[in-house]
Formats: sequence, C-alpha cells, structure tokens
Amino acid sequence: MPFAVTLNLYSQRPDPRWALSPEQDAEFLDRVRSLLLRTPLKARGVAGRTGYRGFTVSSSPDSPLAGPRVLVLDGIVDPGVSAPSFFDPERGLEKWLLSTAGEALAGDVRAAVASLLERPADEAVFSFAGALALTARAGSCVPRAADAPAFVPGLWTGGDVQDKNHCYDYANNQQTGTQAVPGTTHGIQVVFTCPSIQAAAEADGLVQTPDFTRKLRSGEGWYVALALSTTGRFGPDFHWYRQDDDGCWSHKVGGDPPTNCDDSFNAITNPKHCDRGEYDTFCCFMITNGNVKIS
Amino acid sequence: MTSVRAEAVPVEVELNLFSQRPNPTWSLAAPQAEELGRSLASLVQRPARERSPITGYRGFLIRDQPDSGSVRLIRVYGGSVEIPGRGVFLDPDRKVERWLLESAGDAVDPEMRALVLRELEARPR
Repeated sequence: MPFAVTLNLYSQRPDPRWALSPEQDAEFLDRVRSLLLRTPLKARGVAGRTGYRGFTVSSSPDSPLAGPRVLVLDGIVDPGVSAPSFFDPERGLEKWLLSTAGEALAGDVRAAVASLLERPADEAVFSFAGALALTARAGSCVPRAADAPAFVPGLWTGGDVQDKNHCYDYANNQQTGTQAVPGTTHGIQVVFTCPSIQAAAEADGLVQTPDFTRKLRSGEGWYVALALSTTGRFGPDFHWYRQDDDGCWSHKVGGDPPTNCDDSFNAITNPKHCDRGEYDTFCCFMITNGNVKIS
Repeated sequence: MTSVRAEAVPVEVELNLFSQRPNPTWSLAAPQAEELGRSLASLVQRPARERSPITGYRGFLIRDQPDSGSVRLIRVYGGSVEIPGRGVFLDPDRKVERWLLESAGDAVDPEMRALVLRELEARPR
C-alpha cells in the first residue's frame, strides 16, 4: 500500500487519514495521468484558510518507496515545488479521494466536504486568488494622515460594540453605540442624496476635500469617504469608508465586523475606484477628526 | 451527527441588507421559534461557513437567549448556519434562509422579498 491520504480539515484535532488499497493506488495514478490541463498555480498557498484545505496523498509510512507528496485542492493537483500542477476543473480527483475514505470519515463530515466539492474549481480558485490579492497589494496604499486610526477589527467586533456602531461611527472612530447618522446631533434629518448627507456631516464638523492627496499633520484629522446607493437593489442607503494609518481604506457595513476589503475582496487603495457593491454613487472625500460630534 | 437542540423564545430575526439604514427586523411567535429550533436541530455540521458578500444581501441574523442567558447571534447565509460556540452547520438548499424570509410577514415588503428570493435562487456570491 504505497499511498496514504490525509484530509486536511482541522487545526487541533488529528486530520482523518487512510490508506489506499492496491487497486485504489493504481486508479489514483491513472487518474493523475489522465489530467491534461497544466496550470502555474500551486495548491500550497492556502495561508490563512481554515476548514477544508484539500487532500494530501503521500507515501504511507510502511511503504518502501520514498514517493511523491501531492496536494489536491480546488481542482489544482500540485505535486510540489519541483513540478508544474495540473488542473482538474470538475474536481473529479477530490471527489474520488473522498469516496476512498471508507470508515475513516464520519457521514456528516463526508457530506459537508462533498457539498464543498460541488463548487466549481475555477470559482474556488478565484476566491482564493482574491484573498491573496490583499497581501500582494498591501504596499500600494500610501499613508496620508498622522491621526489616522489603525485597522484593528477586534476593537469593533462582538456584542453591542459590533451591533450598535455602524459605518459613520466607524469612519469617525467613535463608538457612540447609537448607530450614528450624520446631522442627528444638530437636529438635521438627511435624505438620500449626496448634498444632503454631505451638509449634515459638515454640521457635525467634517470638512469636504476634493481628494486625499494632501498629507495631514497631527491634529488635522484623517480622511473619510461617502458613497450612496441610488440604484441599489434593496432601496436607498449610504455608506462611509475611512483611511487607516497604513494608507489603505476600511469600512464597517451595518452591524457586520469591519473589513478592509472591497466587494471583490481586494484591498481598498481608493474608495472612489474600488468595487463598492451596492453603493454605486461616489459622493465625496471628507476630513474628520476626534472632536466631531456625532450620534 | 452533531446537532443543535431546540431553544426557547424570545427570538428576533434581522434581514442583513443595509449599512446606514436600519435593517428589517421582526420577532418570531413562540410556535415559529419552536419550529426554527427543530429545524436547526436537524442540521449537520460542516467544516467552514460560506463567506458572505461585503455589501447588499448578507443573510439573516437570529438573536435568541438560550436558557435565558446572554443574547446569542446566529448567522445564516449561503447554505451555512453559524452558531457561536457550536460550529457551522449545513443548510441544504438554503431552507433555513427561505423559512426565515417567509417568517418576516409585513416586516419585509413584497418588492424587497422578491429581491431577496432572487438572491436565494442564485449561487452565494
């Protein structure tokens, strides 16, 4: 039995592991040989990913062969750094490896993995590539403001802090716990137009600015940006972004945790040009500071 | 099979759509809460949850107080049900999401309901 299969699932618990029978060994090699599409992608780049992380096929400990070690994930069949990968768009190899698990895998775990394997390989790889883009583009953000807050999602995540502070609270870096709305402190009720929301924010103490190119010294505040959903599918709404101390932008959508990704899961170097999803109309950049009054 | 046992009322549901505007929210009647509890109890565990989009339809949030303790927030999106402290569960055919939308009554107007239904018919973003 030269081949052993490990299903990479857990962090603390041991991953399920089983040996292939001689017939399955032969079928595994036949299936790999039948793959014709080559890809430069490597399946090993799964840093930060949790949950299902593919199958590792390697020589079993009792095998006399110092054989290969192959990682199969998201349709990429990766034999290691010294050889190119193959692409398996239907994820047939992953599905077959799952079918070889036998008693090594509980029925509910098998069903859960099987459902993940229904996702087409190109889509799964795209999501993964999108997540990697954050790391790849981190250097393209330019810090502009000495007072800009740091991106620390944990400060805004969990319980009432997460629920009761929305985008305007987050952009102004104030945990009011009121789901603050521009102008409320000053008795102004906004309507869903850029001028109305801008004017209300100005009443709170924010200042309009044409862009975010000027460096802001200590005491001058930090940049925020306003966008509006006018043709959004679910009706009007608006949304705020803020520039963090690393120069990239982050935002908090309603009661969700903050994120530094746009709707395509890329880092946000400029909210005017990123994928804003529902918030199709870019209104303006503004400067805020620690003294603005919001509620 | 790992399962979730039924929980007691009160149970509040939020349709997670907006950033600045308040999301539609409603409370479940006692029989609905019991039905939801039974439904959650039948789910099987999965290794990871479906990632929700950044904006737009981002699923349902369920707030309950099991054993009259602190409020618990359950997230339902894209065929996944994430229950704090218990794990992530598979929601085949997004049945829990559909049921929650159905439970909204007048809290969600027909136009918005149709838009969310369209989201539920599509593959999770």
